[in-house]
Amino acid sequence: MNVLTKPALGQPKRKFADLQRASMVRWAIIVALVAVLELTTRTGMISQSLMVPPSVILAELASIVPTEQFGQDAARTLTTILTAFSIGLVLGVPLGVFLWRVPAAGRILEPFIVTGYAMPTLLFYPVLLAVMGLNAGPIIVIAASMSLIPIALTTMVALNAIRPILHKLANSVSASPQQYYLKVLFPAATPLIFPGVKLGFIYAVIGTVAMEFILASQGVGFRAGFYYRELNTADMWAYIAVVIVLSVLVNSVLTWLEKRIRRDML
Amino acid sequence: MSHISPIDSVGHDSDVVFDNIGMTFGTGTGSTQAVANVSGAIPEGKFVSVVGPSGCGKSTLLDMVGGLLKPTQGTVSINGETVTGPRKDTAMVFQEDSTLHWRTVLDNVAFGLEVKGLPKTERYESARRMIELVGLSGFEDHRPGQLSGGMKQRVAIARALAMEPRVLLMDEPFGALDQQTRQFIGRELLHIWEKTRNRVLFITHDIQEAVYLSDEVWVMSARPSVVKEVVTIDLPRPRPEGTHSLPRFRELEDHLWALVKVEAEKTLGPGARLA
Amino acid sequence: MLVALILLWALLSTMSDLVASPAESLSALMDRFADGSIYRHLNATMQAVAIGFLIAAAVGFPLGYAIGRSKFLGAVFDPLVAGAFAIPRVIFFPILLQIFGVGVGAQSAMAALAAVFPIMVSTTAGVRAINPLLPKLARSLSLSPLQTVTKIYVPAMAPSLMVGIRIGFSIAFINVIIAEFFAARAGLGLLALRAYGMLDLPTMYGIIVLLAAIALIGNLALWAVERRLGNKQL
Repeated sequence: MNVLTKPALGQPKRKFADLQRASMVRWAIIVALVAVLELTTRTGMISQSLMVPPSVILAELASIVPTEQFGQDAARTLTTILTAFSIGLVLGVPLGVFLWRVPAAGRILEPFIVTGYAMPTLLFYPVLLAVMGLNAGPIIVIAASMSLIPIALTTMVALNAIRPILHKLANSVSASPQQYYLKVLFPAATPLIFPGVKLGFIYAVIGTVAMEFILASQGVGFRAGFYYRELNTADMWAYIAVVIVLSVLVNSVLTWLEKRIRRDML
Repeated sequence: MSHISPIDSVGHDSDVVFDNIGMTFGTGTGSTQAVANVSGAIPEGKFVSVVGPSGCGKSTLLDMVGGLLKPTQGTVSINGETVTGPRKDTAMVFQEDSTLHWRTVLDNVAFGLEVKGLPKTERYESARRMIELVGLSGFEDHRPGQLSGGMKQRVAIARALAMEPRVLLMDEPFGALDQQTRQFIGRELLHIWEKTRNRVLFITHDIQEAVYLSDEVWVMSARPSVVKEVVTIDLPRPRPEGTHSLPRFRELEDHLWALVKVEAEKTLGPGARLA
Repeated sequence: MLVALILLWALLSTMSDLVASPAESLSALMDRFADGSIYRHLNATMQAVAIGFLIAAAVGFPLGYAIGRSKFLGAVFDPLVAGAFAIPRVIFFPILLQIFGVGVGAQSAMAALAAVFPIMVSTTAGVRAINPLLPKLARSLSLSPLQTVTKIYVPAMAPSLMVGIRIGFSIAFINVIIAEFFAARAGLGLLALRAYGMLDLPTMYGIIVLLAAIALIGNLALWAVERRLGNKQL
């Protein structure tokens, strides 16, 4: 795991050793958890109609992944996530800039945006289903709206947090508005905006999978619910595992990116 | 209101000229007059410092030359043209750290030229020259986060110098540094300036620093500020290590202290003492 | 803002058969209240939200506090909590259904499972943001551990605890509804999706408006408390 990575420059060795120990304990917990599940399901302490042993899930996963159905479900889910996230990003950043430029609008909209963090946009899923039909459309709308809010909010906060001297500097070298945004504002704000972008992506994943799970015709979220209704516990678990792996992977990649951006730009 | 013109003859066309400028913030009863009736000129190759009690509008004066503030009265002209906004032939160094933390030292120094639209090879060439001039050779690829406060200010100075400004505007550039760094970097600035001989308008509240660096020191009064007296610093250049202990240095310093003290007492109220 | 939304809704309803008008929807909702048929569902939903939230709070606050206080626990659990936070927790609902059977129990468990992570995250962040001088102060006054928590930590953390409560409430609420959309014996989510299935659009819109109103009002109220606490501290 982390054995091969060198300690970051200038970081005390002790701290690194602590982190390594923590990561070992963490992996031990995960491994122990899997082992316990394997044991309890094998011995029948947990009924196999509730959960199949992790080793069986793994085998099931291996047999599912090459199927055409899995390919279609995965493709549908991924394109939905990416579309929703792109919409959230393309609308969220300008919205954040607007809220920053026009503080009055920010103040009026703030309660809605803050509550919108948890605003039940998901509640409107049946409405969208009624209007748009049973396809990826309603899911994209909901996942995009969930993804947009943290992006817009952190963009606003990040722009507000820029040191005033940088505005003065840009002004003093008579930077054009375009240079001002591209060379000063956005680079200065990126490390602070990125956590919002990360959250936006995670929300796009959560929104997409959750909506697919409720009602859809395709997608990995839909398939998990579908196998529940079919009473096919092994396949249901395999799809749940797919969702877990996907989410953890997304989170890890984004966390890694976040660290890099912080190191390079802060 | 009477004012004393710092220089009897208005300067040449190529100079930086203040023509009876004033600045009032706000309107009506809530307004404050920060600067009133300042006239003068910064001649070619001169280092001019402005000292005065805090809050006397020194920075306001500088911002007006830099085009960041528009005077409410009178005009500033550079090279015969009235200043209406930030110009390409002025460059500023601020008190706060104004380095762009996501750029390397090289890209920070080249920033002004990049904004001007200079091609990469040219702007890097002059940026490298300036980095050498301010003594940061070898740090081109470092980021500001890896530098000390004094080094960051040198980056800011190099960035300003790289623009080859007609006038370099420095707003208490060493104000945020500790005393030791401050004296050291002041000496460095003097060496650099003796090579470049730009016009400099230097705002400071450190009288010793002003005497050491300048050709002329303008003493500003309490608000509304006018230039109360222009003191010509007739110390020979170059000014080596021992300059601070010359009797003439002490004389000038004492004279300036007395002038500033009177003004500061006005701001702080009767009986106030300077630390 | 709200008026504009309702006007937009009214406008859309005149353009499409798929959108019921605000008046129709409201009267359909009123009918449900009038004949008393909605109360069973309202009760089921609110019960599940309340139970789920309380469980999440009872587990999330202490765990979040422990992770925030100890550097080592933080290093071990931060990535796990962040990873769990990123998983769409509804995906576990089928398992909860198998354990608890279809009913309020499964819904409550869903709410608890979903809300516990945001509560933990904001509590941890709150503990870490505490002025490091405060624990020193507590030691210098030789306060007991209980006094340290109740007199120093809880008041100092009040704003971030409120954030946890607000987000936890919202997440619990949303997940109960999603769970009800999926499978339930009673609940507003079930009612809305059933109305969708029967193409009873006015009822569906009416219930969704009711749900949005509950979420919004609950959220705004908690947010107001949060802001007052924040102001008091500044």
